[in-house]
Amino acid sequence: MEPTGESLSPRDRHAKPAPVRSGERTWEVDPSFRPDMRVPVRVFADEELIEQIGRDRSLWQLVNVSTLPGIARAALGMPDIHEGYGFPVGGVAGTRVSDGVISPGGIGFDINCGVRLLVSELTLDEIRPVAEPLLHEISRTVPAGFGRSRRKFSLERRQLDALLEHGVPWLVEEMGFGLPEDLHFMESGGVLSWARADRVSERAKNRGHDQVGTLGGGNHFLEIEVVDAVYDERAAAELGLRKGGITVLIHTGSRGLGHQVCTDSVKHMDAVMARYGIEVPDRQLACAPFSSPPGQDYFAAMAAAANFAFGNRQMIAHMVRGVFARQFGESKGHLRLVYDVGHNTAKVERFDGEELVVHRKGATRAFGPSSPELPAPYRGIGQPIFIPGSMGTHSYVLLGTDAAQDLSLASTCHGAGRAMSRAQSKREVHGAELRRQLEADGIAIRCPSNAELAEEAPSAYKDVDRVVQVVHEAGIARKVARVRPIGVLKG
Amino acid sequence: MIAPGHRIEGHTSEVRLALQAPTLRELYEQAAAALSGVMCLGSRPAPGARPLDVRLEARDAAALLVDWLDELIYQVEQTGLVFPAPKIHVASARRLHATITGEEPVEWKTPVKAATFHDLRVEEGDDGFRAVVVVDV
Repeated sequence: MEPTGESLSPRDRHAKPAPVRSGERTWEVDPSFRPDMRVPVRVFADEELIEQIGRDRSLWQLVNVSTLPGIARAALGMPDIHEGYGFPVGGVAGTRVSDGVISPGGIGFDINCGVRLLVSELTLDEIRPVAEPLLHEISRTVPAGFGRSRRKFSLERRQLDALLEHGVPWLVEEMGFGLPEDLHFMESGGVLSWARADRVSERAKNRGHDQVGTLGGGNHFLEIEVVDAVYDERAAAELGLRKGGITVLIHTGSRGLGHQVCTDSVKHMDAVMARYGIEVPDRQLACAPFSSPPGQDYFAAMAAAANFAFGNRQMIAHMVRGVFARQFGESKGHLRLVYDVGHNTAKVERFDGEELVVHRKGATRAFGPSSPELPAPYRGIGQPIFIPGSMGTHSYVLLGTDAAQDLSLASTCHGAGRAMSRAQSKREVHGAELRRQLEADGIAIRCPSNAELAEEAPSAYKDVDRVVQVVHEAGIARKVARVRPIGVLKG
Repeated sequence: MIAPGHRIEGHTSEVRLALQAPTLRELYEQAAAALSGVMCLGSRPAPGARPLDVRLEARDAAALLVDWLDELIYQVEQTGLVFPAPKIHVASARRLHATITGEEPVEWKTPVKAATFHDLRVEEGDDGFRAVVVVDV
């Protein structure tokens, strides 16, 4: 392990980074900015976004990330980056397997929070007349929200352990939740193979056993959408997308189980990292050498929580398929899985012959067309990436590029990115008024609380069109299609 | 001495709790009240709610504050109730013993995933204690 913990003066510690343009869509903070930086900070943005990013402390947090032992290349910020805790949301860091650390805060509490897109053969004309009752039925079927989501389905402990270790293949093959072909269209086939259920605490299992198939709260949601723009006809056709087609987007993660895995691990690493001679500028960056027992324990527990999250989205998709089948019939109402991809994970990936632990916190893996990890139908076009906007705004379907391998550790953005605190959003937006406005725009809404609705108002987020344009122009993903919501179930 | 109180402050994506109290015991009470304030709009007694005994130990006062909030978050998720008014029996920088009794939220507001170590501080001054903790929402 490299020595760490260069003493910083309070002035150095709190200095505000000023990024300098290093390319058409990239900005950098040089390692000379602070004595404890090991690599530069690099952010993908245009002029407007970099100005917006500079308003909160996300760049300062990325400078802190650049001090982690074993970090390679650069601490990266996607254009939707915003201030988080420890790592910024929209941050990516690759640490060397050989002598680097793993930091649970670099993945976050909602391990493998992610999105999956399903596509139907239905048209807008067929769905519009029944959008309200359809959304109502989905809201009755998929538990959503906080304190209201307990729960239709509970796993026995041995079943939960099986899900944690064997992921979606177990849910499909042993429990019958979903279709065998689904398994081809998920990141890592819906299972991280190094998962260990015995590395997940009883407390985490207590939180998770009855949360499989629940949406949760906060910014989680389920949307019925219509494809309203196609930028690449051939690629869209490969994904089964056509203008006017109907899709379903599910955004949720590992629920309380994942939160507890992160809580347990941060606490443990905070207590033991001094043993490894590690000092970090922010306690939430607590970490341990990847190869150490605490590092490996966390990596195995994180994978188990990631499998839980894949399973959670699988169960929700299964429930929604049931609703569509009842409404439109088995054939007409069929929902085909386009892909499922996480945006809060750590994975070992190879870059120019070097193995790195790629921490993505609020950032999406973006493998290009030549990646052997893609399912056969997507080889040659790239890995699907879904970028949710916010209620009332567009979401995007992108594809990964081979160039992203070098430019961004095969990563891209994950959403619009918050621009405004929840408190400010509630001060500026009246929940009931927002609900009326969305409904007037033809968007059916199910959200029990106007206060929660106001927290997630579109105006609280950055401009998703601009964020997506930046990743497209920077070459770290490319635009395929755009969708707009016609029904939103908010968690 | 400083009056017990708390503020829920803005943060781009999370929530920052600023706490103050003349004693550690009251500081932990304020932390519980602030957490409930984030999670729901008011609460009322829950019929049949059983008191729970909570005993925590941590390596320092800041870690103990995180543990305390995490314990409350866990119990909220397990019981579906909130815990705005704990009875704190023992409170030091490293040990906490409390009895908590759940209350029914009037309206759920913001789910809290966990307390974080980011920007975390617990400071003792001449007039009492001040703390800042960011919670992930």
